[in-house]
Amino acid sequence: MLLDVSGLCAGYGSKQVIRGVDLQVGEREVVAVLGHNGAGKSSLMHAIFGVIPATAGRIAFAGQDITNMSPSDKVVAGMGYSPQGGESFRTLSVADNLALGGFALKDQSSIPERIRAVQELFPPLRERRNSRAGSLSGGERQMLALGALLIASPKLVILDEPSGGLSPMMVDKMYEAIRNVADNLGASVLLVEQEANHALEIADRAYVLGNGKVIYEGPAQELAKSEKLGDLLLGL
Amino acid sequence: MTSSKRSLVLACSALGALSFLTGFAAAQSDPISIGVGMPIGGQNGEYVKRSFVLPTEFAAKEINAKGGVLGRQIKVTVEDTRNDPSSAVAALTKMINVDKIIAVFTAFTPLTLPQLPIAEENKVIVVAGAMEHPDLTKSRWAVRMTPTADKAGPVIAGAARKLGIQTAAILSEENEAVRVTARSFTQAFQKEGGRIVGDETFKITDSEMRGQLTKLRAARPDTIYVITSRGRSMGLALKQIRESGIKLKQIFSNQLVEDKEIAEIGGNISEGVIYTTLDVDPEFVARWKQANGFEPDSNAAKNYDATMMFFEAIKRANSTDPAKIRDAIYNFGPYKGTVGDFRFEGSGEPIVFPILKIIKDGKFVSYKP
Amino acid sequence: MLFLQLLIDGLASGALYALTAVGFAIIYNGTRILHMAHAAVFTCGGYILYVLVKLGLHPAIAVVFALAGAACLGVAIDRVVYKPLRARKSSEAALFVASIGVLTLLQSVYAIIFTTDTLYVRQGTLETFDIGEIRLTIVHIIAAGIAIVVFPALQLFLTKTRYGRAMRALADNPNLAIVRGVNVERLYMLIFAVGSLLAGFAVVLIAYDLGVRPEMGFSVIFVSLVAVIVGGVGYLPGAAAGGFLLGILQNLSLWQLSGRWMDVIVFGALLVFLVFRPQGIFGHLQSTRRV
Repeated sequence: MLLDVSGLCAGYGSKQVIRGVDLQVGEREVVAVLGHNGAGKSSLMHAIFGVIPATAGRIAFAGQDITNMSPSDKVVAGMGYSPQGGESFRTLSVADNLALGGFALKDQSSIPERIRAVQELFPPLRERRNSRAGSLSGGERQMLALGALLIASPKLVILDEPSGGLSPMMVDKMYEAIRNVADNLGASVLLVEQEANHALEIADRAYVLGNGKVIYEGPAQELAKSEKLGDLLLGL
Repeated sequence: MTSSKRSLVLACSALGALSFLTGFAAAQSDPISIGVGMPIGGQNGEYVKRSFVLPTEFAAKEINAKGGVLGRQIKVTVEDTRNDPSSAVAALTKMINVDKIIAVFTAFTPLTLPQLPIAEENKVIVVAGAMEHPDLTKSRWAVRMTPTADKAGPVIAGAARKLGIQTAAILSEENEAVRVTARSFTQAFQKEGGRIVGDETFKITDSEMRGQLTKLRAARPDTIYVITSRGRSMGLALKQIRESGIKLKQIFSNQLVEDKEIAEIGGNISEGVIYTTLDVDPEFVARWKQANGFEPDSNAAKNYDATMMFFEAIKRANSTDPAKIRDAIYNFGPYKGTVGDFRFEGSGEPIVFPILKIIKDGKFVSYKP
Repeated sequence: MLFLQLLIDGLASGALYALTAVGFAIIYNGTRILHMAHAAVFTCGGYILYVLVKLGLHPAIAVVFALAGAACLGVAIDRVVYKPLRARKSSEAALFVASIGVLTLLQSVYAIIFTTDTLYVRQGTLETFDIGEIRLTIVHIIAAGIAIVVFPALQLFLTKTRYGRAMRALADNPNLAIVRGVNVERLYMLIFAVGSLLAGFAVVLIAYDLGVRPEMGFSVIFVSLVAVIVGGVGYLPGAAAGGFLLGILQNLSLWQLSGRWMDVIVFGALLVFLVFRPQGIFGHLQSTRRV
C-alpha cells in the first residue's frame, strides 16, 4: 500500500468535517473520491496533505507514518497536491511555475531536464513557457497544475477536481493524461471529482464520501454500473 | 484628542484646588516655586535640555548656594510640553495649579503664544529668554532676554553692503521667528541698494538642502545668509553650501553657527562666516563649562540671564507677588548680564542689540564692518 | 544647467528611496505585513555604522557589518514579534499596529542609548566632482553605483534562483506555495533579511553623508510607502520606479516652487494615485493579479 489512511478525523477549528475515514491507494493505482457537495472530499485531501491537522487516526505513506508531517516535508517524501481549480502562480511565467513544482527537490540541477519531460507530455506548456500563468486558457491551466506536480516526480498525485471549468473535449484529454501518469510515469493518483462518470472510466477503484464518512468502497467499474450510484452521490 | 486634553486640564485644576485647600498656610520660608516648560522629550530634546532647561536650573542652583532670594530657596519644576501647543497649555496649567509657580520659563513661538492667555489669567510671569518672535511682548505678563528677530537682519545687511556685496540669497528655516529675521534683512538690504536674488527655505527636520542650493547656485548670489534655530540645520546647510560649488564672496548667518554641532560635522565648514550674536561674558562661559562640562551656546546664556534677571527683580520688588516682580522687570535700569548690557523701558522688551562676530581659525572673534 | 542638476540630485535621492521602498515592498508582498518598523531597521544600520567607525574600523568593513546588522534586526523583529502574532492568526491590522509599536519602541531605545542628537559618522565635506557645470558628490556617485549593481542583482535573484522564485511565488499565492513544499516560516526569514538589507544600502549612504538620529528612518519610510503605492502595490519594479519618481519630483519641484512644496508633492502624489489610480503607474501589468 502506498497510502494507507485509517480512522482519520479532521476539521476546521472545533467543527469536525472528516469523521473516521479509512482509505488506501496502491502503487500505480488511480483512485477516485466521489461524493455530493459538502461531503468532505476536499477537506479529506487537505487532511491527508496536512493543510489541516488530523485530530485522530493515522496516515502512512510508503510505509512511513506521516500523520503529523508538514506539507513541505510531504512534498519531499513524494506526495504532490493540486488544490481545487487547478491553481497556479498567476503572475509568474509558465516556466517559473514548472520550476517551482520542483522546489522541494534535493537535486535542483535535474529540474531543467524534468521540465523538458513534462513539456513533452503537455506541448502547450512549451509554447507558452514565457507567458504569465494568469493568461492561460482553462485547459492549459489544468495542464500546468498537473505538470508542475509532475516535476517533483511524486509517488502519489492528489488532484482536486482536475476537470473543473474545462470544455467536454478538454475533460477527455485531461483524463487521458491522468491515466497516462499512472500507466507510464509510475505514479499513483488520488482524485476528487464531483462529476462521477469520467472519473470512474479511468479510475481503478472508487470511494464515495457522505457526511465525512466513507459510504461506499469498491472497484470503479462496479460502481459505474451500480444502480445505487445516483443515491450514493446524493449521500442517501 | 481635544476632549482628553480638556479633561487633563480639568483634572489638574481639581488637583490644584485640593492642594490649595490643604496647603494654603504656606509659610514665608517655603521655597519660591518656578516652572520650566520645554519640549524635552522629542526630537532635539537633548539640545533643549542643554540650552533651555539647564540654564534655569543652573542659575537656581547658584542662587540657592548663596542662600536663595529674600531668604527663600528656589524650587524648579520641569514639565515636558512636547512639540504640541495643547500639551504646552496643559503643562502650564498643571504647574500653576499643582506646583504654585509664580513664573514659567519657556521658549519656542508655537508653544509659548498659546500659553499667554492662561498666564495672564493666573497672573504668572512668562519668561521666554531666547524667544525672538515680536508678538511675545504684546502680553503684559511676558518678558524676553534677547533682541527681537527683526534686529539681526539690518545689522547683517549693513555689514554686507560695507563689504561691497551687491546680490544676496537667503537660505532659512520654515519658522516664523526666523522668517521675521529674513524679511528684516531683505528690507534693509534692498533699502541700501542691494538685490535679493534667491530666498529658499527648509524644514527643521530636513537634512538635505541640495535642491535649494542648486537653485541658489543658478541665481549666482555674492552671498548666502543662513538663518535657522538649530545647530544641526546650520551645520548641514554650511556643509552642503561648501559641497555645492557655489562661488560666494561671503557667508552670513545667525548665532547658531557657534553651536557645538558645527564642530562635530567638522571640515572647517564655518570658517570665515560672519554672524550676529550677543556678547557673552567669558567669565560666565568658564564657570558654566567647569560645572557642566561643555560650552554654553548663546541661547543657554540668554536663558541663564533671564533667570538671574528674574531673581534680581524679586529682590528689587522685595516681594514674590508676580505683579510687583513684573513691575520691577519693566523698570529695570541698566543691568550687566552675561549677554551684555540691557535695560527695560516699561515693557518686557529688552533694549539690547546684536553684535557681529566672524569665525577665524575656528575661533569666534569680534568683527567690525 | 539648473534642470539637469536638479534631475541628477533627484536621481540620487530617488535611488535611496527606491532601495528602501523595494525592501519594504518585498516584505509586504511576501508577508502581507505593513512593516513600519522597517524605519527602525533602517536607522539601526546607521547606528551600527556610526559605532563601528568610531571604534576605529575601516568604513568599508563597518558598512558590511551595518548591512548584516540591519538584516539580522529585520529577521529578529519577524521572529520575536510577528511570528507569535501570525501563529495566533492575528489580522493584518494587528500586525500593522504591532509594527508601529516596534518602531516607536526602537526609536526610543536609540534615543536613550545615543541621545536625540545627530551623530556624524564622518567629519567634513564630501568629495565632489565637476562635469562641466554639473556638480556631483561622492554620495551621488555611490548611490548611482549601488542602484546599478543592486537592482539587477535583485532581479537575477528573484527570477533565476530557487529561493527568489519562491519569494515571488509566496507573494502570488501563499497557499499554493505551501503546497509546493515551500517552508513559509523559513522563507519569511529570507524575505526580512533581503528587505532589510536593501534598507541597509540606503542608510549607510545617508548616515555617511548626513549623520544618524533616532527618527531618521521615519520620513524615508513614509516616502517609501508612497513610492510603493505610486508604483503599484505588489509590483517590485513599480516600487523602484516610484522611489525614483518621487526623488526626481521632489527635486524638480524646486525648479519652479520653493522648498516648502516638497511634502505637498509627495503627499499630493499619494492622494492622486489613491483616488484616481489605486493600481499605480504600472497597474495594467497586474490585471491578472489575485484580488
